[in-house]
Amino acid sequence: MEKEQLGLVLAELFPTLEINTSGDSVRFKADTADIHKIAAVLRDDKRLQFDYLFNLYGVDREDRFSMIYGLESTILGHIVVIETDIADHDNPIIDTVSDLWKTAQYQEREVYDLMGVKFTNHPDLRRLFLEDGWGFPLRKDYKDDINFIER
Amino acid sequence: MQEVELSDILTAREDGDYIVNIGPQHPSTHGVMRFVVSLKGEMLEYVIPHCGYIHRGIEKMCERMTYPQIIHLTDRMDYLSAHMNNEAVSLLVEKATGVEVPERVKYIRTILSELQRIASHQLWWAAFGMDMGGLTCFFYGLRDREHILDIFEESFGSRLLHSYVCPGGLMGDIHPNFQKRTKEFIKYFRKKLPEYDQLLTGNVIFEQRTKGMGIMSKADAISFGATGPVGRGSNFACDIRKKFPYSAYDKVDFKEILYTEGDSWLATKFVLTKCGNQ
Repeated sequence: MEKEQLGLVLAELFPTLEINTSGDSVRFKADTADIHKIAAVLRDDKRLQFDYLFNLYGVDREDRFSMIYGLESTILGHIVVIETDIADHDNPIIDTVSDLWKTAQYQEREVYDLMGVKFTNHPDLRRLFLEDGWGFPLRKDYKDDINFIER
Repeated sequence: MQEVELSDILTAREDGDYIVNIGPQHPSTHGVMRFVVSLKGEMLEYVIPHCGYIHRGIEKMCERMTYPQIIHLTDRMDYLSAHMNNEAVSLLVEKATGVEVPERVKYIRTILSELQRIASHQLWWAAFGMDMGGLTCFFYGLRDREHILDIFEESFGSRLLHSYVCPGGLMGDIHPNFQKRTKEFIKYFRKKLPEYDQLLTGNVIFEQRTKGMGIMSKADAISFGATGPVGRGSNFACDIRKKFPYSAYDKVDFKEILYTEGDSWLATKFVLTKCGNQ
């Protein structure tokens, strides 16, 4: 589907959201609480069929966290990027999408391991690479007294 | 929120299952990957992989480095395909900063990526054959990979970690011999492909251990995001060079190979066919 057409379908499905079609790919921002509901619609709607979650990552914006999801439909060939802000920087929590796309199981574990974002309803939210009690190294305020050289 | 403990998963399994630890074993890097498997008789029911402490913190290092410095880290992400990793970051930086690279650079990058990919596949099938007990595969695979590494060495002064592709272009021009040697290699390599077929994919021991094994459906491949040979062995059309052509890939005519059965043997066959296809 073409970008503009995809934008129209999305606007019809989610009338309250602002769909941005000006960039390379269609993007929109959603509320954290709605993310699972929106994701399910994107995957299951016959006109969209986003069956492939090609990327999922977190960004530490110091006052909040952002989660960014990149979705592609391998059937219809279009792409959408969803961003959501988790306002609580001290205890970021968001719903898992691992029940919709299996690849999210590990990607969410990675985000949890390195950023400390917790995913509710995740089937196996253990740390992926680091040991328990390590801290969350990709947070901007992470300090490592031994290996960091402050300039 | 309650964190899930490994013991919860293990005790949640039905009675009568065996829980066996396999590894630490080699596939990623020596001595790190470990699998806890749940077995019913000889059938594998469930696998819990433990990746080990393999995170290198490259993202964190990148926070404090300039873009040209980052290139030297990207070599190490997959040391068998340094060019592609260099190129991926370079393309991103070029896109963000609005830098247009010359046509010549695009063509060189594409040729390098293809050579590097063949070299990487060579090591993969060679080691796969060796792991299955066919040591000859390893010698033959590495013998022909050497030819590519020699070409690289002549142009970039290094065999594995080139850091040759950088934001804005290349570190330098290719060696005058590059073109001649690459053409010679293509001629030489085409003749070798039937040999690999005899050694590996046509080998009855290998066939018995891989045909019909580890089958992944197309839907699973997409849901798990299993791209590359695994995905395309399961008929998942995920070739990034076709879908989002970068550098000079839009000017090259090549087929995207897909197989439908989705077992390990076809994933191997796929890699070898892919080498011969370009």
